[in-house]
Amino acid sequence: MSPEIRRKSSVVAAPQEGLAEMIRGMGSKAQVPETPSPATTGQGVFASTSQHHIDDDITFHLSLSPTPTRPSTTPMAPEHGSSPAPHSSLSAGGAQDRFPVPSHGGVNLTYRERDMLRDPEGWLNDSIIDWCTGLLLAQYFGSKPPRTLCLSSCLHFPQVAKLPLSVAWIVHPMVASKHWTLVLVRLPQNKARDDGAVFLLNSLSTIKAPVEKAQGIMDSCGIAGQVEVVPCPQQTNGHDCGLFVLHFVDMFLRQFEDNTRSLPFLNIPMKPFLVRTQFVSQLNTTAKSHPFDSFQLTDPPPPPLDFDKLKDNLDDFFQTSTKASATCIATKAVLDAQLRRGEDGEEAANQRLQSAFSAFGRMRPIANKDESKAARARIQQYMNDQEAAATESEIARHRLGFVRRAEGITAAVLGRVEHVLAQGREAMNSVAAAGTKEMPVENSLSDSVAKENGLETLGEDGRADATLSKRVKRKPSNYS
Amino acid sequence: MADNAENGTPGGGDDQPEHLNIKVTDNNNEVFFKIKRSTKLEKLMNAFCERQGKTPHSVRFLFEGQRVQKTDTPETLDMADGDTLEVHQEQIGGFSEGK
Repeated sequence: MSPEIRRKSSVVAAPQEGLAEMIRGMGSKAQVPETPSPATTGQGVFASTSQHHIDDDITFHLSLSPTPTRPSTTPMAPEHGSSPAPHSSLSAGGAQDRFPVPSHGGVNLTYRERDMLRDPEGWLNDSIIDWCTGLLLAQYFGSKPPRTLCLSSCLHFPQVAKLPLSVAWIVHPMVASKHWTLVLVRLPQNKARDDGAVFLLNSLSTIKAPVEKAQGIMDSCGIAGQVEVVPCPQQTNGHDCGLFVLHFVDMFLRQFEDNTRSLPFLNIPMKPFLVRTQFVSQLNTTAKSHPFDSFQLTDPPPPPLDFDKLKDNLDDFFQTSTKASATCIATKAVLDAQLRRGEDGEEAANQRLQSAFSAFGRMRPIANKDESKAARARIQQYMNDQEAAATESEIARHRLGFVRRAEGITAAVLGRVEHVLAQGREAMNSVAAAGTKEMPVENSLSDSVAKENGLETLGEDGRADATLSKRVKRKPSNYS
Repeated sequence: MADNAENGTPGGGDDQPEHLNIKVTDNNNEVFFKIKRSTKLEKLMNAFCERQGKTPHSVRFLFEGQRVQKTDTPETLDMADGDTLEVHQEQIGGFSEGK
């Protein structure tokens, strides 16, 4: 056998394996990270209750003449051990107005705060912000929040000097002219004080008050320079700023690592209503699992949700992802056919080439000059054929790699959408259970599933797959 | 009325006074409370709010930067005589042009 053909076949074989490797790699990489389930750890970190008797007289006296004595801030030795009794607060006077979820961020929620979060257009106050950010902290770091992080909406910035030296970042949801923004302070770590910075994430950049206030924070932290306004998603209404701040905190904590000095990428698109639903559902789940039952008695009827908006949004998501999924399937079918054709052609060409070679080997070229000339020409042609077929199947394989990656991403997106849908359904069911309105979510879903079958959008050449994967790749961050 | 603590300590053998003087300030006003170490700070908060004409849910009490819960006592917070509680207004946000 001629060395030429051996070289040829090895050239064809190598990219096959390479491509297969590539496809496998793509398949495993196309995973969207799961959101952590509602944390079961780190609850009640700050909840301190006491069993000590409360029947003593109120023994305070009031005086409006401030004494000049400077209050000592040295903490006492903890000789008086408090005896924590987890549910003794049930009997305490203030239990009725408290919503029965574990405290996060040092906050116990009241029904008022819960309703702020439930109301689709509700403004958020500092308690709910602290609770939600505390929940995020517990989700990502359990009961051991990183020592380099200080997260507080009510930090008093002159206190920064008192913070432990380990603190490198302050995450500070800030209100300025009734607008929530997120301030991220990177404290200078060494005495050189060169890398301190203050970042501002403002979801309504037309409001300038936060910039001034953040500048004030920067000055009181002793950091020189200007506040850096970080580009971030913008709200389109007058009530979502708290949710944007929660989203920013979420994205920051998710990417946070100890010793991080650079600002994580935070310009990640989001849907405010999803953030709201997410926290409401976490609130509901934790409330269910928390052994308080007094709230059944004092629970006010929940405000009606904006069903149409919620449904439209969910439908929108579902349709986009099912569309993408259908496109993937269609493209894959086309490319599979192309690959089969290419591989078949390759196979046939190989066989023809082999037989032509063996025929040529049996021949005595000098005796049959014309015949051997023709045989050579045939071999040359068969080789060309084989090359063309190999190219075709290689292209198909390459494109299939794209499609498989897109498919993996779409599957992840669909999973996420289903998760969100489940949350949405749960929220609606809880409202329906309260006797307000029935919500046929399933119908709208089956509608969109039906539409899926009518989607044959892709051209034969598989050119759309690159744009498809680009479109799909952008998606997962919307839900994260 | 209530005297300073010469009446000994109920629990351990420490010599901390049973009553503490606690300053509560909201930057405009300062109010001093004398409170037992084991009394819930809820009483103090309610008294302060009543005096200042504020509703309890509209203010936050902070001790060394941390929120004070109603069920906290000076004991659980390791407060010392003369410590200060800061009072902050509730912060609420969600911007619309009209408000």
